[in-house]
Amino acid sequence: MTELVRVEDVSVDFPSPGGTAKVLDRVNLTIGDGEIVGLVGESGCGKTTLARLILGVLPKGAAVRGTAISFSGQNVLGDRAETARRQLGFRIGFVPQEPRAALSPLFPIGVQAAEILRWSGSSGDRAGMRRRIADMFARVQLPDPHAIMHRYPHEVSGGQLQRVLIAMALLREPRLVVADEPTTALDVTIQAQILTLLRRLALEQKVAVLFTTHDLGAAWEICDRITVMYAGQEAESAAVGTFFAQPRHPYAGLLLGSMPRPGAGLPESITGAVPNLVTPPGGCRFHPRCPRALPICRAERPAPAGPAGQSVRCHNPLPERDAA
Amino acid sequence: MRLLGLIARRLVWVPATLIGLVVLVFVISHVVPNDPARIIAGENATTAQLAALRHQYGFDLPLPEQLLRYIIQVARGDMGVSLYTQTPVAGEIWRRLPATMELAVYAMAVAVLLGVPLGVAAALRRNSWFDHTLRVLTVSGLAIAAFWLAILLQLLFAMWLNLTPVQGRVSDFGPSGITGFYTIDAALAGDWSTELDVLRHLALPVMTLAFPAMATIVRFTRAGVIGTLGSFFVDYQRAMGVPWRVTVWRYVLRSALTGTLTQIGLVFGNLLAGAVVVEAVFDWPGLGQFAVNSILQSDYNAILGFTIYVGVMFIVVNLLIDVGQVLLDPRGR
Repeated sequence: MTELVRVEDVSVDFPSPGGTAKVLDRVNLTIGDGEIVGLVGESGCGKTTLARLILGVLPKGAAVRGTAISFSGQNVLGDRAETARRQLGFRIGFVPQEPRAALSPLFPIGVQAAEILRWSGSSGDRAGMRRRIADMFARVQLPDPHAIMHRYPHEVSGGQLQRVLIAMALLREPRLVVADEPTTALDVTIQAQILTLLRRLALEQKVAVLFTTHDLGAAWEICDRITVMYAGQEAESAAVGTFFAQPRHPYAGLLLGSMPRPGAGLPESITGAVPNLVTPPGGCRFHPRCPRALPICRAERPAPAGPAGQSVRCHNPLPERDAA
Repeated sequence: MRLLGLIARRLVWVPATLIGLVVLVFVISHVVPNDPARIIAGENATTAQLAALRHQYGFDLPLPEQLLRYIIQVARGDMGVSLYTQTPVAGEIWRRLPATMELAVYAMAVAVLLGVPLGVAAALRRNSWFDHTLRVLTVSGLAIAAFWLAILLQLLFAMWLNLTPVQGRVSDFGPSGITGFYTIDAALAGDWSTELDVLRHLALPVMTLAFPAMATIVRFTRAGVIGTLGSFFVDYQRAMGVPWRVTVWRYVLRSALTGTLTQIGLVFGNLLAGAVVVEAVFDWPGLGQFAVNSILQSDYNAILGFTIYVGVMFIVVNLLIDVGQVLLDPRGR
């Protein structure tokens, strides 16, 4: 699989009232062409920051350092991300967590979709654009696509609005769709529909997806590969089958153990809390809560290691189980 | 159409508001210890003469009856006769209205056309030297008294630079025409030398009135834009490739203007109050001067008439703002 996006050793600091928050710490992430990658972790682990780093919309004051952020092999680190990506013709579609907040309440949905289309390298007259938008609305299974273009965001339900945003993301004919907790704000019954839709369209259009979620079950449903983050560091990255069968990082193991399963009683919770990112623990940030911590874990962050297709950053990973 | 329905629903309340206004104005003017009959009759009038005058003007009737008569009279468009000039008040107001309206409309236009872009620019360059300079200017705009600014402008532009006349509305005679707006009448007549003369007369009073109005509009636009820039849809559009200028001038500005628009009602009120002073300084033959004269002469019917005019203006402006608000923001529909 060719590499589409590569984030290498990138750190992001935010100014905060209590001091500088080290929100991302030397993070690595790769997304292959057409691959659906799940970025999993608790709230505040940096997954949204990583998504926004790739989108090029970090909040003002964020300081980015590192080796590379590359799109199709072109390193744009240090450049103005949006400009650099436009020059590369590398378009990203964004499906945010709160669909309602992503749209201006003052303009009809069709007008805002047309605005996205107009600035995504599309040429054509108004009628042609309307037709393309309506076609895409039909593909995300919106009932009555033409009518919905004339509605305002407040006249449409949250689930339908998220379909609109998926359509808007795909209208750009993107190489990558970044879906940042796209179903968190929706009803449980709608969540599954949206996720299935997202996966189906991504496969149809051969577009890669970066899907952030705190819901391991959702990641299991739609992802090819999973990257687990903890407190601004990535812990483990593996193909979805490998990951669920045999997590190697202790945090990944505990995270899986905390998933509720039918017939398994109450899930185990992980003791302790996510650390403060202004003064994070040294080395591997998980060591204060880790049952397998060694003295070296405090001092040094382990390098990525593991068999092909799997990357684990742990000095004392969970043992490999025999195929039973 | 939903918009027409909304306007109709608003219009239903206008008569009720007007009656409330007339009652209020009437009551206030009657608790003031002032005997209009004595003013008309002069100092040497006899008791019999006073009684005759009171009877003639209906001042001897019970207060509720006077009020009822006044309401009916106003409803017919009759605001009574000026106690001083003996001319109908309604006619006098109607005759002077275009002069004041021309001043107010131009001042408002200048304030909005300068204030909105400056407010956006200040928000985009927050805490830059431009923003700070503009803040000094806007605070001055709100703090400086209109009569003082008017005199300063007269000194600078009329006396020293000799660019504009000191006062008045036109040098010779105003253009004859239907609208009473000299700028429009002169343009309609194709009389460009008069047009230029009228514009030069307008410049200073319009500046005086527009300055504080612009200051308010700059401040509210700036605050609105800064508030909206924090909205998530701004980040979303940036990530989705929409150019910054399009996001700011189309989407952010429209959100910010809903806040500015509400302020325009208040700004317009201040403008009418300011017009009273400005017209006095610039010898402008409008309603402001009429109000000053009426008050100085205790011309009771004229004061009532002027107050009702101001109230009506407020009702009309607020109606327009409500409609504009709905046009800007579909959620109110």
